[in-house]
Amino acid sequence: MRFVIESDLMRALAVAFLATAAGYPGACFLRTVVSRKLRFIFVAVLAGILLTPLLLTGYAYYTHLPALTARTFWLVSVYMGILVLKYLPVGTFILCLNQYSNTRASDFIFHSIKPGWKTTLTYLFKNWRASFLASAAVIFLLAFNEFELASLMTVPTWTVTIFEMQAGGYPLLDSFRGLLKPFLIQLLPLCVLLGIAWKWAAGQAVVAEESLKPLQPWQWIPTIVAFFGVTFIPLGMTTLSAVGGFREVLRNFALGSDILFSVGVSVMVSLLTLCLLSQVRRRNYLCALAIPGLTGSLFIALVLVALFQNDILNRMYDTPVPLTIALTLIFLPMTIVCWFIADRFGKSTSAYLAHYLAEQTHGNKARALHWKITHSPKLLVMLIVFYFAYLELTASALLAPSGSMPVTVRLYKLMHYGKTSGFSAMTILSILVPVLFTMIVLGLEKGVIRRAWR
Amino acid sequence: MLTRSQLIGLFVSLACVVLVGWWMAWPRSGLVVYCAHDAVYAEVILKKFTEKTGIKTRVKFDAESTKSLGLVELIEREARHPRCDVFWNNEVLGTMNLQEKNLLQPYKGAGYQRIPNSFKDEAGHWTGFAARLRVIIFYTPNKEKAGEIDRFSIANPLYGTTLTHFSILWQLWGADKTKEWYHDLQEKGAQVQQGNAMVKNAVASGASDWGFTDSDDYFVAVDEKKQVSYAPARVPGGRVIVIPNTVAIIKGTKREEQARQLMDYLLSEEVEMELAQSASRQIPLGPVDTKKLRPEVAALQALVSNAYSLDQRLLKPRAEAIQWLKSGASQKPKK
Amino acid sequence: MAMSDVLFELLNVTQLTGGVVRLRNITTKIHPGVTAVLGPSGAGKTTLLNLLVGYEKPTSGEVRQNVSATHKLPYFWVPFDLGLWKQHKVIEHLTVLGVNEQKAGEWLKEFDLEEQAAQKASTLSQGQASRLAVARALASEAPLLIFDEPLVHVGPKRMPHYWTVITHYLKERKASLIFSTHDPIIAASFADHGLFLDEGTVQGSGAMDDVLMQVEGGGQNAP
Repeated sequence: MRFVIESDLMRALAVAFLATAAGYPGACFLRTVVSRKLRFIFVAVLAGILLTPLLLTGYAYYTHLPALTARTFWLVSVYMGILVLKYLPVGTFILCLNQYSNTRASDFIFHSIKPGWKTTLTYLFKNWRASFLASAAVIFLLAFNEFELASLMTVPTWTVTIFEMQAGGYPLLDSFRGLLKPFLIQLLPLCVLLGIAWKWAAGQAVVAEESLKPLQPWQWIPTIVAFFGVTFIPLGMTTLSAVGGFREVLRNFALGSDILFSVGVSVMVSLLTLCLLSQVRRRNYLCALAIPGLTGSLFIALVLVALFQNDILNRMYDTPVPLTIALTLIFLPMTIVCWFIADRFGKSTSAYLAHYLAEQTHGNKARALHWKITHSPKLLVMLIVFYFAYLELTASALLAPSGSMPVTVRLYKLMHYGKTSGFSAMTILSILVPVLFTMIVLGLEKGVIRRAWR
Repeated sequence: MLTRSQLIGLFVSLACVVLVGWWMAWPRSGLVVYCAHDAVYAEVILKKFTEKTGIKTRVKFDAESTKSLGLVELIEREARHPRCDVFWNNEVLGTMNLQEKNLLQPYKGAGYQRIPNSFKDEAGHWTGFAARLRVIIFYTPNKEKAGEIDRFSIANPLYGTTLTHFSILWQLWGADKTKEWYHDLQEKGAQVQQGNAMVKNAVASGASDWGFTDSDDYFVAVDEKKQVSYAPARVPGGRVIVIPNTVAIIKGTKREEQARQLMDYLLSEEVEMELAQSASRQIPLGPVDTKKLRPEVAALQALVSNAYSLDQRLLKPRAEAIQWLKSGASQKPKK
Repeated sequence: MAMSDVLFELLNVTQLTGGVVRLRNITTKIHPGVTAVLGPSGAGKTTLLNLLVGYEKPTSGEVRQNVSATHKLPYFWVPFDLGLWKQHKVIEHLTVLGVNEQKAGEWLKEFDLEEQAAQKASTLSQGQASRLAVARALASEAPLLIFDEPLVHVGPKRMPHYWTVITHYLKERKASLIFSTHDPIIAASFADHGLFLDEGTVQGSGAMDDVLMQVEGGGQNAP
């Protein structure tokens, strides 16, 4: 089976640069806004976009898209448009790490002396290149490895082709041969990303800046558009079509065991990730474990299929073990980055003092304080891993054991039948579960901390 | 605030609870069934089987797009360490392929006896039931455009019932004419969809005006109140294509008795009626109470006698077609 | 002098941060009482204090301490960035130490923070924040206080009062204080001992008056 990798490459490059450019206004907003409330709302909106499953977005538009399938250009354009909006928050967050900002005092002074265009370009290039490249590299990898939306929208990408090869029973070697070119293409952005991450880990910190200029609409409009396009409209459409379907779903709740299986695997993935991360701090070389995850879920799933089909590991093939390992590896890069960011909170002087107080006094308040500053961000990281592991599709479809169907795989299969109220209800319920789980855990945590402070 | 050891204890307890729940949700024992039939319908049937016999099933479904081919090749790959006990395929040629490779175990039970000879293996390696008809689905408002190739949709012929259809054409026309026909379709702008359901969606929404699909997918569109109509797809010579589900026991199964019970159950009048009355409107092949059949199923049943014969002779064209389709040569040639 | 007369002993301590040498082969002792660590900007004062509390570890050499282990909090630190818990209220910065609300209120009153008690620390001005950091340290009742440029944003009108509160605390509790400053007047007014740093090395140490003379004379390396 052949596929044209060049069109996938151009598509991913276009999405990478467009999403990075679209993320710039949001980064300016975050660096300009003074009000904590407004900043919190904006970050919540960005998080909402990132956390919205692409399956949901694709499903909502899917029944309207068949009208486009006859027109490949529009189909691919809509596909790329959704990806640009989806990955815009990634661009925003990474660009926020940039030292350069048009609101920073030193840059303000630079511009006030009216330097020549050569000096300005050099100055901008020196300040921007790292974060722009990092953002473009991350988004390129995400867009290049994207499968769910492409499959649902019948956009012919290399991921869909390889997935079908594997699911269609091609010899594994053929699937790996097909993976070679995509893997080589990803090496360059991977190296760029690792180089920049290494440099940033060595020293550059995120600096919060005070506002020098008032907020402008151009800073928040792209993010709002993305929120509507990726989250609000799909969620609204699906919820509306789900009315009347909830009763049917709850009456015949076959989804229950799927949800339980997915929750169980996701919790295992979180725990395994936690164990790995606790070792990464002491043994930095373990960060190399994150490299496979940067190649995408399809690659990892296929490697594990091969590994667990040999005679030695064969016994565990039809168990949740390969899937758990796959999901851990897939999300390890994202988790390590989030972990190091969360860890920074634990290295501040205020965290040090909280730790010191907790160790010396053993008081409830001191321990609650220490937990909140040092461990609470890490709990959040674990919940993020749980959420994404629950919603992962590619590896789940390839590695789920017989008799167990991860909830996303069931949804994915059913989505091809088109929109029904029952199915919309299943989609909403399935997505509610990780959200509720997260809220319960965070609520419990907050309750325990509040009790300690009484 | 809890002490560290209390926290660890709580954490471990929570983890244990989740693991236990997860363990319970994951069926450890039971008959392993590889099922290419749509999960929506198959699960209902298998659940009833469990309720009736107490025998649990662990079902592996396949990707929507690859369906039967994926499971067939998985069973071949697992030949040394077979995992599957019963294979419920949604078409027949893949099952015949497994028979040729000596991967099936014969069984002629009560269910086998009630199915006509033309839909089962003589030695009992596999038995057909609850069939579908290959149909042409039309977008009724634009029915006059049927015939325009750029308004035509077809599922990827590498998989499922489309593969069966393609193999028949390969047999009747020969390799060259079939290849030319398929290239011609693509060059003239026909849409190749991921599966029959997507063909149905494309036609039902008006993105395409006509296409090849299966009768059960057509009826999904009818139930969704879409403006669609159908005509049986006929091969040169005028015969229709009736594609049965097939059930077979995999050689090497360690649960033979249970597998036989499942096979008999699937081949029973009860299951055929269940599938006939379901939204998929599958055509019963064995004797059933025709008065209880829905009119549209009865109309399909009347066509069964004019079905093209699906037998071992199709295996060679099928294998050649698969090889060609997998090679990439089937894709639209670049100009 | 016996180790018991010494709070901290630094032996050949060198500290590198980000490839830059902050402290260079320092060997010195810090005694009980009030010690001022003097020096210009970039001399290594903050680094030295960070090493004493264990916030940083020396690249080479050893830091020995003989801090009292009998009290529940052997020392309390006011770091360079004050170390406040921004999302917590002002009064909670004191009650977290186990101090009851009434006592906490008294401390806040001493540092003119009574009206801000219910406010979050993130809303304080720099002057208020530095006062809170000191108030918190005193409320800890630790026998050793380590302050990095304390009360640096506080206006001159109330400064003498706050230092009076600090010295009163030290006298009552027989506590010790190590603080850094670049202001020799503050050092002269309140410190018994001095440690003068410049470019990461100790230029002078001992009684405060002697150290100040060395500072005026340009340090050990002055011609």
